Amino acid sequence: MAVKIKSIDIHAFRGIPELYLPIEGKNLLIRGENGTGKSSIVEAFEFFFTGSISHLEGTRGISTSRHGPHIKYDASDVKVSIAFDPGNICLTRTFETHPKPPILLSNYLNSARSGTFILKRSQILEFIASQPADRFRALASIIGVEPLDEIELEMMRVRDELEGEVRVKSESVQRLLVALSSDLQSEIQAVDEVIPALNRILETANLPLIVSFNDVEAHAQKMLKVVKGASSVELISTLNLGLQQIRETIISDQFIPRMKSLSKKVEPLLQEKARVKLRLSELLDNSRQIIKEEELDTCPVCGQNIDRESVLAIINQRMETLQALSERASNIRKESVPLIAELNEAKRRISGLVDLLSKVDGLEIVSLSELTLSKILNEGPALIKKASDLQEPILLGEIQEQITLLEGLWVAVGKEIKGALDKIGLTEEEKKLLDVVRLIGNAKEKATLVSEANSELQRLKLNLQRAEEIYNSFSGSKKQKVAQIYEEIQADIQHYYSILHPDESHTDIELKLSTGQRASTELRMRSFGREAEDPRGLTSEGHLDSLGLCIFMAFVRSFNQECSLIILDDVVTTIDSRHRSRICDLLYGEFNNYQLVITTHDGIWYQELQTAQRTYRLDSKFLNLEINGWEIDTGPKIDNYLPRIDNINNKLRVNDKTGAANDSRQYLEWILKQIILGMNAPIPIGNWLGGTVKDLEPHAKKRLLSLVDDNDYIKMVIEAFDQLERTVPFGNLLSHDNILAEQVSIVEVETFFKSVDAVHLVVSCQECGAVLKYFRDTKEYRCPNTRCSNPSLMRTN
Amino acid sequence: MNIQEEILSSFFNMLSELEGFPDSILKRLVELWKEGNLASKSHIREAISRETQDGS
Repeated sequence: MAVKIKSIDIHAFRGIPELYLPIEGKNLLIRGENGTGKSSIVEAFEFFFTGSISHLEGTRGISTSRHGPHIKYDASDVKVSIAFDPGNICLTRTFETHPKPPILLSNYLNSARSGTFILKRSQILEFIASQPADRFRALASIIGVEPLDEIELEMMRVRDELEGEVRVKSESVQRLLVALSSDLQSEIQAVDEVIPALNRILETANLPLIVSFNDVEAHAQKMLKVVKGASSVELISTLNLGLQQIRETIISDQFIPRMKSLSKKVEPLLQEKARVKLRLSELLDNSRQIIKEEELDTCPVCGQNIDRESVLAIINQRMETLQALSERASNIRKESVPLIAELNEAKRRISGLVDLLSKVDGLEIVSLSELTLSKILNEGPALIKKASDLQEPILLGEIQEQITLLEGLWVAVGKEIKGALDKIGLTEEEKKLLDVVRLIGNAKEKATLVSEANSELQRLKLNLQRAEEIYNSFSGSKKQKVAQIYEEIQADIQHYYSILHPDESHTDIELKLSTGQRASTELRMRSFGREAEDPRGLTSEGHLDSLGLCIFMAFVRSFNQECSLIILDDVVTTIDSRHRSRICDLLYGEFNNYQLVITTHDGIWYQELQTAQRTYRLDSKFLNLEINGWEIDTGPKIDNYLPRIDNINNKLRVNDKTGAANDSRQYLEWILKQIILGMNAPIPIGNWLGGTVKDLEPHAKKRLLSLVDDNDYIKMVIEAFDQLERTVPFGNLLSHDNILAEQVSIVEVETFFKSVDAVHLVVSCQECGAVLKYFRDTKEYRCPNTRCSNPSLMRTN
Repeated sequence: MNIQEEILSSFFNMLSELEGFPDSILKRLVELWKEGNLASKSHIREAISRETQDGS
């Protein structure tokens, strides 16, 4: 037995102080003007099942917890209880507690938790008029693959990050090879080309060759012994090593441009608004982790009970909106890392140089002592860290000044070391020899760096390959399944659309994953003979709305199988009356095993939905309600719906002449329109738009008399219309502020009403009461209700 | 099996049939899914780096 809602009890929620609706497992139809609280009822359903109101989330300053409670109540007063059948089980949702369903209801409530059983007017646009990515998101939430989207996104980010790291490492290897090529004056493309290139230089200088980099130390010692004999070898070696180190700049050319780029990114995020948002994002992220990992059922901040899944869903939703900002902050942190590393590396090199030169007794390098006190090296890393944590701006001018000072001192140290070497009194030949020794040392250092970088590059490339395999497999599996779902569901969408728009040139409705884009869905249809057109280009707003409705209904039927509830909140405002009656066919014919909640502000649509209930013999399965006002202290004023005829009879009983006449006239206009539409009666557009009795009546009558080939029926039609024409003036007098109105008696108004009702009876099926229609293909004038057990039928001319 | 599970199952199958794809990474990804940590960049990177760390 399908689970059905028996009643809903709403307390202190939105525009409702107190409301109890005994639905008794029926469908619910509610009419109310805008602002009378019908959406509050829908939101109460949403809050009960999901714990939030979707349109109150994700916007700063608006939230369910703040705007959910009735203006005169606190959040702690809010309570929505729903009783279910079978079992007469009553569950309650408040801001502190969530419904804990017994096994019998758990599938129903789990299925409803995502809130995908509700269609609002604004959501129709997500299916039709939105971007492919938004459309995918809307459909993914119904299919239930939305959580996988976050996984796919993270996998893609890992792949992209690794791609970036491989690129940076490759560039670094390339830079080192270019530097080696320049030093060795030979095209170097791999490390094993370094020693042959070095040996060519040594050979030219008539110096001993090296076999491997392991020989470099011994080789250097051997060559240095040639210089000034063995006595000065240690001093010369140390000074030469010092010079070798000085040869490389202390700070790269890229440092200042990168600092500028970082500064540009830091600046906007230091604004107060951005800082608050970022802190909120961090707070949400931490909360998410704590609630998830610790499986908390109470809020870690305020200690109130929470529905963990709902809270996590809200946090995820809020974090999505803050995602872009938090990614920018994360990128800043990433960019700052190599800059801090470069300053620390410079400091390490200076410290190494100090250690090296301190081995030489009596050697004093003044600039080196100043270098160790460099402000940029000692304070720079902390300053960059603070900027990357968005605590302080980057003082670019000062940093540039400090770097210039640092570079100047570095060059000065080189000059002082060179001066110390010169004091030894080296010959030009000996100086050239030292140059060669330095060249070999330098080449060894760079070759080692290339080897290390290459090995890291191989590791990164392997990681990237795996990341690509993971992302492609995941994305492929998801696409394949979603495409399969789309394929299966297209037939349903087309079927529903054909019910709403039979004989129209819109076919082959197709939902397709966009090629080359992650998580995007294209919507196409064959329209007026053109293949695969975007429906937005060729159909009216009403068509688009009805297509959105069909997509929603098809997905809900496939994916909300455990939850038989469907809520349509004021969704057919742009659809004309002819197509609206077909929406009744769709809802009542195809979804009669669901529990429908339909709200509308439109009185005519409400009447049509109510009339169709009789056609489909669903009168007893509907609770029809009209909201006739709203007040802050009492909420929506709901009257049980009275069928139009009962309503008029009531007014006649209390002597309400104007009310009864007005309603009777509207009743007549409605009948005449049904006749004209149902019989395809030709009518000038001006008359149709005018829509008054005078505009419509002659055309309806003429069509009936000319079309139906049944003398008895013709006689009945003539009698009904003659009586109508005699009584219409009574209705008109009373409904147009006529000064003669007072002269019309209540009996005369009643006569008018009865004549209208008689016309209605003549054009209705005697069995089920549906208004008869003309079917051109079979040339029949008959009951259109396919479920009618004894449909009225007449021949036509 | 719900849609999410179907997709995950197809994903893990696809990886297991991929020539040369290390078991250690696959096992870790399955664990991450069960723990609810598959939507995490750092966890995915940690799984991937297993191959180059332990040489499996």
